[in-house]
Amino acid sequence: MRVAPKIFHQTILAYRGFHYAWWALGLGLVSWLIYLIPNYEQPANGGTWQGYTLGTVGALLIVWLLWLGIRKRRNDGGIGTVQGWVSAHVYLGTTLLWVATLHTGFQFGWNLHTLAYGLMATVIISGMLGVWAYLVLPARMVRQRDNRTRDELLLAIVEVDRQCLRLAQDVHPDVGAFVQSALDRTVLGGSLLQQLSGRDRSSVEIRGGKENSTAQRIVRNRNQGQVIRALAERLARSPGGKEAVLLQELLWLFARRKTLLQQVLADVRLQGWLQLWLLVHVPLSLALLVALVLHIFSVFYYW
Amino acid sequence: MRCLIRTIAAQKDTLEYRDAEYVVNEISLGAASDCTLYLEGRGVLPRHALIALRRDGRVQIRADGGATLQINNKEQRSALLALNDTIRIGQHLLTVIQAPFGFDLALSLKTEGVVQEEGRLEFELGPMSLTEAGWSRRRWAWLGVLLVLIGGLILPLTWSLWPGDAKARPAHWPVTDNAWLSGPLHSVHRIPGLIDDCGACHEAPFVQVRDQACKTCHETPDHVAHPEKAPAFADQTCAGCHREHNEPATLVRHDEALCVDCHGDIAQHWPEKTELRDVGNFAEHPPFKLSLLHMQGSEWHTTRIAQDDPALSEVSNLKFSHAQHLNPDGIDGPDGSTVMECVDCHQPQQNGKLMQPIQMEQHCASCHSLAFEATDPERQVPHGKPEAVVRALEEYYARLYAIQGGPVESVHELSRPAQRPGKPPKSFYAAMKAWADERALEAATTLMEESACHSCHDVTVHAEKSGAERWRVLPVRITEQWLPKSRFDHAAHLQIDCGECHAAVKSEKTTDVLLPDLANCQQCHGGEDSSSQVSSGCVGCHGYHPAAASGYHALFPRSTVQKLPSHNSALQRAVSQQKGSP
Repeated sequence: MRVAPKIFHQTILAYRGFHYAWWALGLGLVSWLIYLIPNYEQPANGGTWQGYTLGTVGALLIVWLLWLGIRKRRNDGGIGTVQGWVSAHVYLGTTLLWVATLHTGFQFGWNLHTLAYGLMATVIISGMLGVWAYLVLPARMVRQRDNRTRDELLLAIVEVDRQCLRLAQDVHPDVGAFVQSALDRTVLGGSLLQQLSGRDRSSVEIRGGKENSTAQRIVRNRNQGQVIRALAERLARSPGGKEAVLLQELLWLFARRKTLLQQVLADVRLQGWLQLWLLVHVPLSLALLVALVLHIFSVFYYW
Repeated sequence: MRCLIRTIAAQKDTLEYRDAEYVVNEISLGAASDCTLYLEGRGVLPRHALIALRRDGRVQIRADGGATLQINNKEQRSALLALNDTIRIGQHLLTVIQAPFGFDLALSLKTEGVVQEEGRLEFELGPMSLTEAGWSRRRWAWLGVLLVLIGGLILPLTWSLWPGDAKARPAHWPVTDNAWLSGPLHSVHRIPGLIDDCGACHEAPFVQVRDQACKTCHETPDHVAHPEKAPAFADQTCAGCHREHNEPATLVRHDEALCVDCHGDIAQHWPEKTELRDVGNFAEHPPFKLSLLHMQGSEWHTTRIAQDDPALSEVSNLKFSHAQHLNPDGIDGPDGSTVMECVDCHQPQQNGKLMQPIQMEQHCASCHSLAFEATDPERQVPHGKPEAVVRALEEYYARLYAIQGGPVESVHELSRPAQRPGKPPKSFYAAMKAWADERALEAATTLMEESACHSCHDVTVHAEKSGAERWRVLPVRITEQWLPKSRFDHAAHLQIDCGECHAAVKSEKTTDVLLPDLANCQQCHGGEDSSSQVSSGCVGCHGYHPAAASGYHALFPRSTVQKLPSHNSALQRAVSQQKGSP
């Protein structure tokens, strides 16, 4: 029997025995201690010596965290492994939220400074969701694809479709056209929302209304349900013999097709969710870099 | 057997490792759907091979039926597997890898050239990833960067650099330089001209707010009249102590370092001889110095004297015993024996900080009657100079004589006899004046030398002189503010009984100074870093700016003289006058 797969490789979180988690915790603690040093001069804010210190640490962290985008694209090596960088990125990124919050002295307002903080917080939270996605979704994707790649699934659909078409030549022309339409009108992929929803939007053209009517109409064929139902009805009315065998086989092929399509849809859906956080994380982190520079600029512009 | 199969799949630009654990008696490999390890493609039979654990613990693979296996590139039907052995079935390559602890076998599975047949779907694939669906991270990044640049830099900067007068700026601007506000303005600064114009104070970019910007509205003398004598003050700026855009809103630094940086070692910073002593924090504060009133000629002057100086005694020219008045058994009053409280006489000013001046009419007169005629106790002389007292007495007795038409022994006997027709003779007026003068002198002597005046005032008698000039009463002035260089708020100390700080109950002499000393304050107040006492920095009691160029002696708290921007010079004069008045 098969049991659920276990992860045997080391996750980025556990990298080198949570090495960077300790670094992050240490940095967080030091920042807190700096914040706690009493300053009788003025209330806690970004302009005290503690504020400047924590702000400098935070700004350097942001630049370093963004550097991951450059480091991972460089194949000529550099300091450390990419896995180590990602592990440190995750932990120190989390610490950044703490350091920057202390830097604000809990003063927020409708201004550029809080915008920079808000962008930073959104980037970090999206990053946390990303860590969750990377830890959970890939395994789920592999499991639901039955250990095959998406290309393998698509090839399997090609194979099933070829068999369907071969059988369709030998059945009643009505059924043949119906099968051909079901194949033609299969839909995989789509817009962002369609990808994320994972709904099958396939349709099929059927002969509408009365038996002899030639009017065509298009109906939904979600999860090949319309085709399977129609084939089953046709089979029930079939007098038997060769036609029944062919219909039976078509029915079996469409059931298999349904499973394959669902696997591809689910794969596209999970992959969409796996990438969605990056759509927030990466663009906002660049916007954050600009906001950070402007934050520093504006503070000293109106000193 | 317990087996780990690690499938290595090449996706578009990544390698995918999938680990799966199998606990089976034997592993079947093949193209049949019920095989443990489903392999497909050319050259794979439905049941191609079996892997099983032998009794001796070794793992064996054998081909099923007519199948063949390429083991380590040699065609074999069966083999015992060892680490790094390779098995090729069709396009699939199995490699024996290091089995993790607890596993009997670990295999990696790589499938080469999955797409051998040219497959074409019957339908067209839509976008199969977010990027293909048009959601490019790069595009969003550019959009975000652009929005932040426009809203965070271009719009505010344009507004800030708008040429000409601030009022010439457009009325509606999407993002002004208020977007750069690091915190709200203090409420006193939220006025037109400041709230809508950062440049009013921030005159030049990248330069800290300069004093001249503050002095546009605030006209305040410097800390010392001669900054050239104390170089320490040369580079002091308003912004050094006054911080805007803070939350909670505060304009003044309250830390001890503000003062102690210089006052901790005053000789270093003030080369001239000074009476000021070094002070580190409130725990090391030197004894209070009091402003003591004394008379020189007919003028009142103040001298500064340390509270621990044995010469300290108040000279108010008043005879008064707190102990007598605060007798817990009571003191005789108009309504019999009364137990007096401090607040009967000492009433706080409207702001609750200091005490209102003592007024005879208000605080003393209810007991201390100025009556002079035993038979007419309702009548009293005015509380004023001897001249006024004697004049009032003369008028009173002359009137009695006039009514009676002759001398009066007792007011009770006063009757109005029948008026003789015609004008009284001249001798009547002479007799009336002589009688009234005599009675007035009698009554005045009693008042001045024995009873009312004498009991509270220092009265000197000049027997050689006549009339009111016989008596000289020394003017009374009670100190209202002993510590004019600090601020004190009685209202902030309401939970303490007066007697806890002011030892009035035991004070029998008017010369006693009842101001509590430093040690009394230090029972509750400590330095700013004190954790067991009320944390009290210098600014808690002291201000920095002198009220006027003449020095500290004017009313201290809130001493900043405002140059009101509305040209309200009359009001400004009135404000300055009130602040400058003693």
